[in-house]
Amino acid sequence: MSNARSKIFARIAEARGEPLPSAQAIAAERAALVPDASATQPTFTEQDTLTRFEAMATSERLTATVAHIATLEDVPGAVAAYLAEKGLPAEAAIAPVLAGLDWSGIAASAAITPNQPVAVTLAEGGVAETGSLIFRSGPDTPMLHNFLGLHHVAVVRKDGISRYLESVFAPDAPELPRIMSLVTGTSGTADIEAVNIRGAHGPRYLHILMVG
Amino acid sequence: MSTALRSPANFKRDAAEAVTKPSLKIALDRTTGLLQSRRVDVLKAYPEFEVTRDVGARIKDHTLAHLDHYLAEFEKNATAAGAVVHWAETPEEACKIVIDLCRQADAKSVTRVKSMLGEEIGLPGALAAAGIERVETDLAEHIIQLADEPPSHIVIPAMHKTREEVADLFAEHHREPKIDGEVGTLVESARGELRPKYVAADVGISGANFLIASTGSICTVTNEGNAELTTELPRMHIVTAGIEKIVPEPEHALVLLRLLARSALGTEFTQYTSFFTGPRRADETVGPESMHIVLVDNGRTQMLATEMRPMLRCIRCAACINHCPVYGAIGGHPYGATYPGPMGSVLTPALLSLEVAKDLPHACTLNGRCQEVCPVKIPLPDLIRSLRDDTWRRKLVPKPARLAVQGWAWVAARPTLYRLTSGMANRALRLWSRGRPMIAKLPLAGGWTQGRDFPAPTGPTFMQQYKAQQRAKR
Repeated sequence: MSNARSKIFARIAEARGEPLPSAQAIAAERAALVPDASATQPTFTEQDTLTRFEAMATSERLTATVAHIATLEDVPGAVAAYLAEKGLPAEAAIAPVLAGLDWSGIAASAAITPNQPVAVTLAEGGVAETGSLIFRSGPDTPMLHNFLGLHHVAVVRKDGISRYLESVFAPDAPELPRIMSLVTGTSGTADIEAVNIRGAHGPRYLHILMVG
Repeated sequence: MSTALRSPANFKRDAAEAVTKPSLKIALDRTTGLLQSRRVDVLKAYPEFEVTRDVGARIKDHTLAHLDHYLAEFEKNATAAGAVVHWAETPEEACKIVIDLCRQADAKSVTRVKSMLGEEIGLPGALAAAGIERVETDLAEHIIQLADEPPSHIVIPAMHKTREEVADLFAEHHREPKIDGEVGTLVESARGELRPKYVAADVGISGANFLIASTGSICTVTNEGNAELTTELPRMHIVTAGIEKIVPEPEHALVLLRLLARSALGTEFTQYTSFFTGPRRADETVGPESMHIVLVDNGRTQMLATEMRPMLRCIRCAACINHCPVYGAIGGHPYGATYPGPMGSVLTPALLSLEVAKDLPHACTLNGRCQEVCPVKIPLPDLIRSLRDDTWRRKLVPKPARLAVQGWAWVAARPTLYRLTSGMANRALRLWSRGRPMIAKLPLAGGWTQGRDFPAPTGPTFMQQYKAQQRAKR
């Protein structure tokens, strides 16, 4: 194993034909690679951040639906309204981070099952550029809740939505969790004749509750 | 064509057979046409594309120039996050590492997310030989697994299948098939079939679209959401990735991600873009107990030292494939290896050998569309031309073709003779066409006209017309 490693590294050094520059020199060159991230970002000056986020998320391709609520305490009511509108039974898997809310009226379970009809989770934030939600794995925010449900109800605070993807990795962003997932619309596939179909493996429906 | 039997050495035979299949042409036209128009549409809203291509190429070139530096940094950070990094020089070594890990996990069943590197190293065959059940979770990979065929495209591996053919496969293999002529119903049938298999798997195997040096993370993109289901439920997560997938920092992956989805499927962004950093943490009750990352060379370090180096920028978007007229006529299977189309015509000779893949660089019209659409500006036609040159110098071009080219070169170096013979050929072709615009059958070129028509000359040669014009001016 280590033999393969040393041979690979030797061939890379040989192909370069000169010694590796100092770490400082490499870092300096690296810093100049993307002198201005905005040059690679799509412009949407005509739209403010929240308008763009909602427009992208509910676009024909991403197919999410959006409801606006004032505070986190309104989440159970908004979930109940969604279930009623879809004609679904009043039950859902609730991510532990949201378990402290008043779920009376909904059969709320902490565990998630392989054929979960509805799962409710909290996103860390969102990105207007792409209409993505940002999910971080953790004991209170298990990742499977975002993937196993047929219906995914995702809660996101409006002040957590930023304009561009770069903010996800900004220097002041918290350390990377085990999984960080950017969820952009519903699960889809174009694998048969390039026809776009929803609900390939993950959620077929994504309902976003924008809080604030 | 089963995976085991294919080889780029059979390119001519398999391409000749492919052009005679009407259902293949239907499937290819339906799909590549849509992908091309969607790409054009999404780029209308992204005028930054040109600048971003330059930045993307720069990022990849910088990383390749310091590949050992970044691989060491990746190894250090991935290890610190609790993952185990393995190194493999050859496909055999890589497969052995994966199989040994599966045995260590006492694996009976593994789920796999589509990974072209996995195909490149022959992992499906290695798992079968080891008696381990392999469940492909990507819809297209699922389809071709049922059909026992290799992928024919790197983003849409079942591109060669029409919906009707998929329906027949599902009817035969699914426990509870759902079929009614709609693509949506077929997708639902696969969802129902695969869902219990995610839960039952002992090991989940993924590839990586990017390896992030500064964090030790691997990044996967899917539209189906199968990567997360595949890697989160089993006990062990194994990653197989080529060493050229590395980027220095997450921000560099973001730039390349902006290029990738637009170029691959004509969408702004993939639905599920995930960064995995290490196995299950102490405070979690779900997730794989161990994470192993197998980094594979397989010819890449040799490419670094040659003219083929720019090919290592490739982010596997398949835009070159979707815009290639040769691919559009024959599909991916005749290329006889994991990577078809223009990128495959460059990669396959490097990964296998020019001897076995000598026909691939010649299966190209040099129309240049691949380079025009490449998001990291790989000069594909130049690389293909350079490989043609190699086949010539290494005497891999068949004798009749060598003689024909040498004969043509001899004539072309003598202008009077060239004008005389080309004028005669022009006149003969016009007579033979009897005024029709296309020639269906050509003497001495029966093989060429079997699958297509030859355009008849519409007038005298260029030099004849030029001279007539000069005379008229006087």
